[in-house]
Amino acid sequence: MKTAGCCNHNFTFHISFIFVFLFSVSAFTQTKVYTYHSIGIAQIQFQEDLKLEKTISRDTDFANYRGTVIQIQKQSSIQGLGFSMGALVGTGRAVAAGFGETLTYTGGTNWFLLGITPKGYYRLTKPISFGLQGLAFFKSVKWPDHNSIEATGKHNFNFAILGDLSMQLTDDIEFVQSVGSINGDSTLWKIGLNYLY
Amino acid sequence: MPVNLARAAFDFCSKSLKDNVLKSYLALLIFSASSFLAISAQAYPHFIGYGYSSCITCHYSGSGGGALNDYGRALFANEIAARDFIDDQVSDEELSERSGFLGKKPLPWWLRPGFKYRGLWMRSNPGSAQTQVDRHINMQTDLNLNFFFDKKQKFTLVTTSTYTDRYPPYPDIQKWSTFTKEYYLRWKIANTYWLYIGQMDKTFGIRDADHTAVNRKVLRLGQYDQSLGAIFHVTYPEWDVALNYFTGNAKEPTVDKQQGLAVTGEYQFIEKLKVGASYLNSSSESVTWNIFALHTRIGLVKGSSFLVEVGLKEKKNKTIVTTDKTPLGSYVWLSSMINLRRGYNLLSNIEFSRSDMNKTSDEYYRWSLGTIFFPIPRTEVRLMAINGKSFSEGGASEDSWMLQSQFHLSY
Repeated sequence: MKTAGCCNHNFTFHISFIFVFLFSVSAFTQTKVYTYHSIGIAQIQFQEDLKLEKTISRDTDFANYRGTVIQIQKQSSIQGLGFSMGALVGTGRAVAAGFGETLTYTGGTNWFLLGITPKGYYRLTKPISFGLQGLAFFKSVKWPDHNSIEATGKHNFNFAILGDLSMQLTDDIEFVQSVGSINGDSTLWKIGLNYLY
Repeated sequence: MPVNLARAAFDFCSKSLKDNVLKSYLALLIFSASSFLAISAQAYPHFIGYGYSSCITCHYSGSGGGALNDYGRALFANEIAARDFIDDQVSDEELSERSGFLGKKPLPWWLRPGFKYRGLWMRSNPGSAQTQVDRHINMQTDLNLNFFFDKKQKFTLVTTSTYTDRYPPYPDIQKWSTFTKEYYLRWKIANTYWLYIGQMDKTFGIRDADHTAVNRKVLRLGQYDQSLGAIFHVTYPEWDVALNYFTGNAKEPTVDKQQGLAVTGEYQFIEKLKVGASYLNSSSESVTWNIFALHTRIGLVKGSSFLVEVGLKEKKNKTIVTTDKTPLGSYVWLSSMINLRRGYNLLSNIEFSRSDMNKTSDEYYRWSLGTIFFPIPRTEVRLMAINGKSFSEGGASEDSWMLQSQFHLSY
């Protein structure tokens, strides 16, 4: 048989829970949201498979991409957690391996990319934060024909998930190093400096 | 344009150094100009994150590396290493007292021995059925014997004997043998002036423990590249500078002995921010080296730091007669240490090198990412994943991967 005390205790618990919840929400909404912007430059590197075709022959190869990207970001953080959204544009050089089994394609070309990069992060200490960064970009690349072999990249639209370490070196300068997987089949690096404002 | 400026600066240095008088003058000039800078070569330069920015605080060598002094041992035990396996009732002071070679048992004032072991297990190309290779290497097995001639340690003899394992560094040294790789006399002229004479590490750049890094072994600044010579070291709290004249390693063949001059220095702009520069010119019968580097060390928060060394390197092969200019290469070394809690850190090293800045040449990149733990006093454990990339107009190559684990014991 339940006692009044027991019921009151449960009631108190529920009331307490609601108060704690409301207090937390209130505290959270009253906590200052820090918002700032950044513009940065980074070096980016990754690998991508190439599709090779010559008349009826087909083969695969890969290419190394290396280039420079400029990115702008808007970052918001609250109580150590943050989110940012950025856009990036970049250009660079790509070189094919020439490792096809039946078709040997060699040569290089320039590429251009345009993309967005959302990021969630946790601030370990004031100058250091760890993040998980998405990177979605459209890549424009035109491989020249070589010995009548046509080469095309495997992906025009590319997706990468990167682990991200940011270190704020001064009040205005942040060093960011990111590494992860692109299109699920190779490693992408992005290393750069951001100016915060 | 920056490449051309760098090239011009290097050419100027090289031409001047052909003349002995100019060489001496330039050395003096560099010494004077860098007298506002300070030395940076340390075994654990990352510890600027704890506020320890000078090598001499923890090492017998003002250039860093080698045996730890009593203060360095105590510091390792009571600040760097974790306490998770230590009884709560044992104070940090007690840990300091236990950090001697024989624990708390005192040694005679004139003797300080030390022992250092570094073992490496590595797996190259993990996951590849054809090319996966596992190796174990005893990287370092050193016995330090340091002798003091007076209680104030004004005169000190530092010696390091090492066991070669299967990879002897020089042809004269047998496999599985012991030889003395380091021996020098340290004279503390005054609190700010030190003179080192003997065989020791050359002073250049940031001396990280990773002797395979782009700023060490390939520049003849590796684990066994000690050289006979002298170092004059001026050290103040805000700056220090070291001038090193060297004549080559006693064990290496005469034709390979690099004779030359190195100067390095650092200046502390604000607490935990040091900026420095290094220059080295040396020559053997077959090779001439010119290396210049700018470096900085930044302590971010307690235990966390960011280090950078950016350098130009010129290696001229004297045995090849050519009208071509000697290639001017470059390198960058970036290192981040993040302290998670006492004794537990993340480490990220990013390296870049290129053999010729003036024309298209192969570029090499290496990213080492992992953990560096000091689980109990005297020990260090590293777990690293290493991704290598290259970029060459001659054709792309696959990324390389390596897993490494290291165990270090410092007694």
